[in-house]
Amino acid sequence: MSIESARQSSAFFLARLEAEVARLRSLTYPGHHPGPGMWLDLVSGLVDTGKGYLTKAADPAVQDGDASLLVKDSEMIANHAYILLQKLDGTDADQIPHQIVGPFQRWVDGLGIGNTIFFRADHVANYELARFDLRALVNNVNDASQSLVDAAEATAIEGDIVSSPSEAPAAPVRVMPDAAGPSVTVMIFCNGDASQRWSWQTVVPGGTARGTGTISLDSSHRMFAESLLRACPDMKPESFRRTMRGVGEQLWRAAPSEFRDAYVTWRGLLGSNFPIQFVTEDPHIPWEMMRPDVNGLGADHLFFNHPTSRWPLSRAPLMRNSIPQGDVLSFVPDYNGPKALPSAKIEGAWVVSALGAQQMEAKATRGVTSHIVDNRSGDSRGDGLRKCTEDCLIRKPDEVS
Amino acid sequence: MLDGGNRMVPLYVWPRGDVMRFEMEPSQDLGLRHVLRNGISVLQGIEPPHGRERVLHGLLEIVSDADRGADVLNAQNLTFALDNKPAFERFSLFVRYLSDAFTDLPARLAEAKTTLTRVEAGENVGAEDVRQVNELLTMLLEALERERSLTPLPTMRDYNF
Repeated sequence: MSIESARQSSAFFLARLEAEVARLRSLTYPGHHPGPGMWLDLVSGLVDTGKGYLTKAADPAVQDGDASLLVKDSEMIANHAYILLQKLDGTDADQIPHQIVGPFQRWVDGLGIGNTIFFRADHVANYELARFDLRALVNNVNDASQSLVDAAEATAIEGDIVSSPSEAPAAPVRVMPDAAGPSVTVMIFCNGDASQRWSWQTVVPGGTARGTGTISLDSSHRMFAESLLRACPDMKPESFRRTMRGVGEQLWRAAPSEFRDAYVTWRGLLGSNFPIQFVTEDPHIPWEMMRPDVNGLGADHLFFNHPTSRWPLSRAPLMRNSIPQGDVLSFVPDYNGPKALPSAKIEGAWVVSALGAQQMEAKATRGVTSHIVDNRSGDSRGDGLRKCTEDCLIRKPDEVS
Repeated sequence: MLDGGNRMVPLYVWPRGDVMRFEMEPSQDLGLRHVLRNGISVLQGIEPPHGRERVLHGLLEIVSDADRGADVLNAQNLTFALDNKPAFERFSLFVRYLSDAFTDLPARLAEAKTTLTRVEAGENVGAEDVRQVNELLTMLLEALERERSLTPLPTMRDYNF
């Protein structure tokens, strides 16, 4: 990857973090605790520091070696910021009500604890008291931004120590033509409009295992898929995850019982993150969203737990291991009112300004979008969109609209 | 304690005065990387961008903690890791990356601490002593960079939506 590409990639990462910080600042935190705000100040400081590295890296007077180092540093500090942001998950008033935080705060006050505190809801087995100390990071990084210095000083004034455990950096998606094939390949053939025959082959220790199953839906494939996702446009952010879990469990129950039994067996044999490839004649149903509803399995949506992809057999019969390069197109819908997508608009503008993408009108119907993506119009721009969808391992062309 | 959604409610506290280290993988720690990089520059006579004193202070803190960790572990203090987490983590850092490179790592850490203390105080330090500290820091930095380069990228499930 060239330095410029790496710089753009890191800039995008930082821009997304910045947008997320802005969103989190707009939330209400129970009891109006100052803790989350101070935490976000630190994150902003890290992001600003990373942006400073990138600005410096773009200076023509800086040698390539130094520029490369600066870009790597910006990516590392963006990872730090990402990790800190994760700690705020579950802290806003929608996730944890003041009725819980209030008594806790009084308890803390009663004990004479003067620390800055924030509370969060999480799926853990016990209370968790986490301590943070990021002083070494703040003090030792080169060219710390003023905002980072200010944020660190603000916490120091109150005698607080800030720290961060764990790591979970975001990673770019890479296309690896020589990558090993999937452990599980599921072929789905349509028998009429509402019935499907599944056939799968699994690479297990000592050989391969095969299985088959059939399902009959109450409605057509398309209507079933649309019924699952009908609520999405009006979904409130706070209910998104819960609703998606429900959709995933519906898909799990709709899958052949033989497949469900086999999946539980595979988890025992292959672990929890083996790759799965769906090859399906039906282009509508997002089977990779399936969420196994099995006690004790602790499974999330398939595409969370497994590298998962779905190949639409009816639309693109030839599976490829390379992707032709095309133009970069940006489709960002411009909704008004409560359906507005401010972060998407920021991201769309960034894609246009930083990557030279063409801003496209995002009013294409599903059919038109598929037409472009499948290149049936002979328009080479479809390659760009296809590349985008395939690079991101996002389901199928239909869902791009 | 459970809220209405049956979720446990953990408490996040930023303590006052209680010194803890952040639990980040050393190879992902930019502050550590910068302090090592700048420290090597200082020992080579190159002035770092933000002042020699700050760099030496940060570096000495790391090496001193590690040296203390080595001392207490030699005394076979079983509760040391709990009582002195920063020192234990610092010593673990050097052991993890350099135990194969140096036969007597605790001795190297003690020497490095002495040398850095003298450098910070502005005393004249022998070229061989400086070279030895430089070697220690350079090998640690290289090990961190190597580990970061070889660490597999996280899978998509690591994203939080």
